[in-house]
Amino acid sequence: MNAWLQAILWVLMIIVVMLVNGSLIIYMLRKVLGAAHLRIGPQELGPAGIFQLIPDIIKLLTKEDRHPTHSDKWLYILAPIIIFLPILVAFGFLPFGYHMVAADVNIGLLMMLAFIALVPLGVFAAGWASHNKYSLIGAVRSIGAAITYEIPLLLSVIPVVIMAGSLNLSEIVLAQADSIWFIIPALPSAIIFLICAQMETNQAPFDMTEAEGELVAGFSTEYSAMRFGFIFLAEFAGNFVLAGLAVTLFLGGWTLPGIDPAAMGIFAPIVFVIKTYAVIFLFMMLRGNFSRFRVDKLAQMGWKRMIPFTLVWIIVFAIGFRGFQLVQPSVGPFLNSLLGGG
Amino acid sequence: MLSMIAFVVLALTVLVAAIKCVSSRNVIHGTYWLLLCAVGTAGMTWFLGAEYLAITQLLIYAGAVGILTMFTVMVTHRSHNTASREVKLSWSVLLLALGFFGLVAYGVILTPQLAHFTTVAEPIPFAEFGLALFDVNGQAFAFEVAALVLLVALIAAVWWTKDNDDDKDQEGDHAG
Repeated sequence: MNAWLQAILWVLMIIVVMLVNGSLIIYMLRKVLGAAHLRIGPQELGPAGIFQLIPDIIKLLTKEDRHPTHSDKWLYILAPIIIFLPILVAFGFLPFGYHMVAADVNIGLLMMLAFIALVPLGVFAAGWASHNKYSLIGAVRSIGAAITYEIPLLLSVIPVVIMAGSLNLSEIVLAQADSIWFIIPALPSAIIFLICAQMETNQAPFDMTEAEGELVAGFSTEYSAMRFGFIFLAEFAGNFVLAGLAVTLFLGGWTLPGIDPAAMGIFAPIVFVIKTYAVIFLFMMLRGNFSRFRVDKLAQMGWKRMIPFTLVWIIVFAIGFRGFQLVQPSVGPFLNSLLGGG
Repeated sequence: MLSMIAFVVLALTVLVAAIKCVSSRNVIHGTYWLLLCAVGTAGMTWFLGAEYLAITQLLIYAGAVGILTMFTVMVTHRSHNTASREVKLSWSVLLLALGFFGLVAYGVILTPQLAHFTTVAEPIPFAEFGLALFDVNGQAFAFEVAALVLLVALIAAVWWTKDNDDDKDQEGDHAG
């Protein structure tokens, strides 16, 4: 029974993290985008507008939950859940600290990517079921984008797996604590991952699925009240999950350089969350500073640039890494003395 | 006991989803039933201890094949009215399917190790699994070589069908 209790507690904790994260990101998004556009952002309620969220939530909760006529009833109801659930599950694999992970499985990275890959199917369901031409265009675009970025996203994590020798996210973090942050040897992978994460979370410059100004609100046009709230929450949670994954894979996860991972203790989750929000800040700056891509340009970039590049990069990286492994016994001690031990 | 309940629930899910997948008139509904079927199968392989297989099932069949099916719908049926199909019960196909099922079931019953499947394999470290995948004398190696040949063929096909003149025209249009 203990295991059951633990599992329920983990799920509850993940939901709490999702809710808190949603409210934090929405405030951060308004302020960061405001600053990027030379506006102030929310300022009326509370100091610097921090209470703006409360009326927003009340509005979402009290709004009428309407169904468009001729909508595909069951798919319309299920779509926000199909979007929300994979992200909820993906949260469970993020290591927040030493043994602080809901599901510490030895193929955690692959599982996380597998669940993230299910989100576009929910987006498509939402757009299709709404019986609205803007929703449908948004839905179709989401599939077009998914088919573009899924492959480079999967390929971009391979150098990390090569270096860590494991698909377990906790072990990937510890491998970085033993050596260096993987962003240094695998910078091109980190950049590709960042671009694909931006596409995955439907953020500008790759937000063709929503594209307000072209498509009203894209796939979520017909959604209102708490159903829209679910889509919204899933989007922000997706932000957190992908930023957290980027931190875990490339930025040392919850560890800090020069500090023994076992000694991090209670500071581990704090470090992890701070790093994650730094990456989210980067996402938002990209969002605020680049204009939207055209759909066909996105497909061209994905298929003609990113996939060939990642394939070649994996080969180059693998050869380079093997060469490094071969020369390391002779060069390693010298490097270590250069870096001052460790 | 718990695994038995899980098995029954998953097996029912897979069966219902499979039947709904072929019997649903709406193409999109059929696709989502197919996805549910894939997820259920992934769950079953997970409970059998084949975690890697389960997650590959989820990634390839639920994720990639699902998206490819949607992509097909996207380039063919674009509105709700055209995204339906006729469902006709074909007795010969039903007979063929039942015959195949009977054959597989007979094979399972004949094989003593499969009929009394109680032990679950110990999970092996992933590095070991990776080494086994690339073992030159291993059974997976032939498939990998075949996959590589297919990939090369695919790239070659794209290269051959690429029309250079068209590309130039398009670029000219964009510039203009």
